[in-house]
Amino acid sequence: MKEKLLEITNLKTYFFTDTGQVPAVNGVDFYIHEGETLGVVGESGCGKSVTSLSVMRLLTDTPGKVVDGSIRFKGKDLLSLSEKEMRKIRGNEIAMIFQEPMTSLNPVYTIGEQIGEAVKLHLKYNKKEAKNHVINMLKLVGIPRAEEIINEYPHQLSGGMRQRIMIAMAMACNPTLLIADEPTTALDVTIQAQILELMKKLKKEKATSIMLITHDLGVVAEMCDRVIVMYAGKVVEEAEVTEIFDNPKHPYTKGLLNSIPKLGQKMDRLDSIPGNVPTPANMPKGCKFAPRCSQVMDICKENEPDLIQVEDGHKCRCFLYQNEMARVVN
Amino acid sequence: MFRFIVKRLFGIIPTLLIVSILVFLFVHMIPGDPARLVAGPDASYEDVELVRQDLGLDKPLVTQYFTYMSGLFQGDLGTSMKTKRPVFDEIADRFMPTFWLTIWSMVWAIIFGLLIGVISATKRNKWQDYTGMFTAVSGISLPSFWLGLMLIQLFSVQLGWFPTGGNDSWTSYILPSITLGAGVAAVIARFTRSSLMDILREDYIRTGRAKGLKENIVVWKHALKNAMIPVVTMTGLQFGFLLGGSIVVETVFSWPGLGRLLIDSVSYRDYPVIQAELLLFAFEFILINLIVDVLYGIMNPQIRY
Amino acid sequence: MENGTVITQSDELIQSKPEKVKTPLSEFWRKFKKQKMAMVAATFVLLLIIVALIGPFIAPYSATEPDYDNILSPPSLEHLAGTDAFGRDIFSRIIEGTSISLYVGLTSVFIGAVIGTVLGLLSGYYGGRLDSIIMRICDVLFAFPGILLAIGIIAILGPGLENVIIAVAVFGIPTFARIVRSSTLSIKESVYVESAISIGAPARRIIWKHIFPGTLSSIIVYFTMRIGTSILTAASLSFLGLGAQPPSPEWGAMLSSGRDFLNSAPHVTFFPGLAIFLTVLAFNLLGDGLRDALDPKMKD
Repeated sequence: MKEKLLEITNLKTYFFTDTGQVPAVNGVDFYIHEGETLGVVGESGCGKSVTSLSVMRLLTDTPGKVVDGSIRFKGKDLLSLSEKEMRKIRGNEIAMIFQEPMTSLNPVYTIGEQIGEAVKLHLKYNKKEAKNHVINMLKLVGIPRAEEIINEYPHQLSGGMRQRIMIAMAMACNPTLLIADEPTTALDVTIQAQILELMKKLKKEKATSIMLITHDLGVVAEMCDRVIVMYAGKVVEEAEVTEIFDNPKHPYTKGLLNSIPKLGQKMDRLDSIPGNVPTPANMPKGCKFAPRCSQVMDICKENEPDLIQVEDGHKCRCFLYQNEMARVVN
Repeated sequence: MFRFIVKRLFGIIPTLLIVSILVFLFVHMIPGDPARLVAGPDASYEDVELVRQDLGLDKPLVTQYFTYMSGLFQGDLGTSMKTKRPVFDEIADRFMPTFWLTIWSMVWAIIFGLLIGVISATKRNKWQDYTGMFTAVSGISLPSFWLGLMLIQLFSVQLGWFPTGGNDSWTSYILPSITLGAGVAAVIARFTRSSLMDILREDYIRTGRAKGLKENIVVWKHALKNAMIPVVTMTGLQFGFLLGGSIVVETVFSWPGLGRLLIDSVSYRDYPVIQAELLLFAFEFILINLIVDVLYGIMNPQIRY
Repeated sequence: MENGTVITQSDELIQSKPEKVKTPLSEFWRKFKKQKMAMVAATFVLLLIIVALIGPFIAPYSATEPDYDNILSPPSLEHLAGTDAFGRDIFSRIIEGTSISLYVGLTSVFIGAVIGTVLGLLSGYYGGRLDSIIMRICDVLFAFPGILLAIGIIAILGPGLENVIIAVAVFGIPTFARIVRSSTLSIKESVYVESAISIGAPARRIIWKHIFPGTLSSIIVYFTMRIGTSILTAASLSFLGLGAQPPSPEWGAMLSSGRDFLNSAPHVTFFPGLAIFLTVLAFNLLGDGLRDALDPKMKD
């Protein structure tokens, strides 16, 4: 039985603005096993990134606040840790890669300084050890001229190089969990593939668990073991990666899958899901996806379905499968 | 970097030339006949004409300008009409007191301005921020002459801690430099706050926090170095404000500096002194801008010359 | 936008109240009235304007008549701010001086704003040679600290309140010109101006009907912020003896005349200075509030 490295239960993160509170994450449950790569999929605004920032407790510069739930990492509840204890976890046991490699590095410090900082802090290396470690990390992520690059500034490097630097920085202290928030979205397609290869390689070598946030199902197919699909601050479907692609249950997941082109399949047009993600002001009463759903029923407009097990290891939040739930439970 | 500095030094020459021409014309627009002023009210017409020839005021304006400029390069700025001493000596005597007053004011202004600005930005919308920003807007609104007089009344007259004026010892510097620095501190505080608040929203700040850095290190190391780039530029420009402000503050504290010399020469129409001072102020201002440019380049690795 | 899933501005999301028609003015008022400091400041400025208008009628004593029985008497119930070296009631003089300070502040900024705006509009709209000439002149004006420029101008024109106004106006010109120029440049790029140019609308019409209104909010914000500075500069010049001359109840001049009695009668300098401080503070706070409500991108 694999250990659960991270387990999130009923996480609720609300944004507090002048005009009221907005539930950005509204009761999310999921877990990540040791050595597993979990894909978190959804359109922008579904709460993926807020979930990851809640795990890192990095909501300080947003109006967001975790109002309920628990985040257990290696058995510890991260939400109850002191800020000092949390700092020992950040960058050390849980590291993060962000979407924007162009703006995620500090423009006024050298690459060596920025990676070395975390190494000195968490691994207690001295200056020389840190420098060697940084050079090794840079070589590991495939950066040529590593000895010279450590003295260069971010603006001297390309986007792909910077994302490698970010990965080197994140992996520098050997984290057990890596949170990658859309790590390839801002990159060219060819560079995307290289970065994904690199992450796969590192994962194999270091046995790191990865929480991969993306809206790109291609990336999911490439990288992940298991997937959760989020919509309007909630998990709507959860399954093994092959299961999601072969046997999607939730109409939203089906819609997402239909909106990607498939090789060797002739299509006149790509399907897209009609409408937009609901804004908090006109959040539907029942199922949040009901206004856009092609299989909407009367009950969907009144009540909200629960996330229930529909098959072994496959959960779905949809009334279409309520009967199946009854079958499974009984 | 060296080449850039040399290039910029040559670049300010045309500006200096224009400024010198303008100041020259400007001073010659001052009404009243300087020859009459020098010769005295009772002098005869012939005497006044003699003085005029003596001062070279009968020559065409262009000639006068070139005479003045060639003198300027030899350190000859003419003679003060009031004291009959060389203008160069008058200014040299007054230069250092004003220089040190300005430097000390800037030191206060930077220390307090940065501190208030950083606290306000990091404690955004909390009482520290409101207090800091109210102090800052008050500092901008305070008439420096009033602040100076009230400080004299409290600390010199009532408590007797500092002298009321002049510059005889280091204690003489404290009240004038605080008075002069208050407004600049306020401007620096406001500017630092807004600049730092922008920077704290940047992605790389989140990266720093995600590394597990202490909030203090994130703010004082990662954010402030970036926030300082515009702050340095603005602070440099505030030197100009200090030069101007020194005129008022020196009058309040009977400070033997350039500012009071200017006021005295304006009321006496001592125009060789006015001319030299205006040139000096403009020159300092341009020089400071140059230094600020160079500092900007040093601080911002994205600029390469 | 059709099927009910409308994306609106996030700050309007939560209010499920029936949508009111939002005019720019009501939107401005909604943002402005939230700022308590600015509201207090606005009230104070309003009060100042009233005092400036009806000052002579409400002042308890004459501002200019000497009263040699009451020389330099300290603040009391009879003379709230005491009396000066001629026995004149300082409180009454401050009340009557209000109109002078407001007059100097408003007219000087107005003159500077009008000239600066015209230069900025022309510079930004036409660009090229005209732009570089205007901006070069601004650079040269910027080469002198504001008060120094003012002193230089007064050296030519001679001391006096009118000349102070001109001097203060001149050093406001380059800043207005730059602000207006930069917003002109950005508005000029906008679709509606480009389309107006493409249908051959005359330049004068484009500038006044399309560009000028767009620059107005920056002008208003800067105008207000500038009033405080101008009142301060004018008071400084009067303090230096270059502006209003005694016996005028101009605050800076009053303060200057009190310097000789600082030890024995500090109230003679204290109250006029306080009046300057509070007035300038009110305009600065008002300017900050206007900026936050109208033009949050603008920095000081």
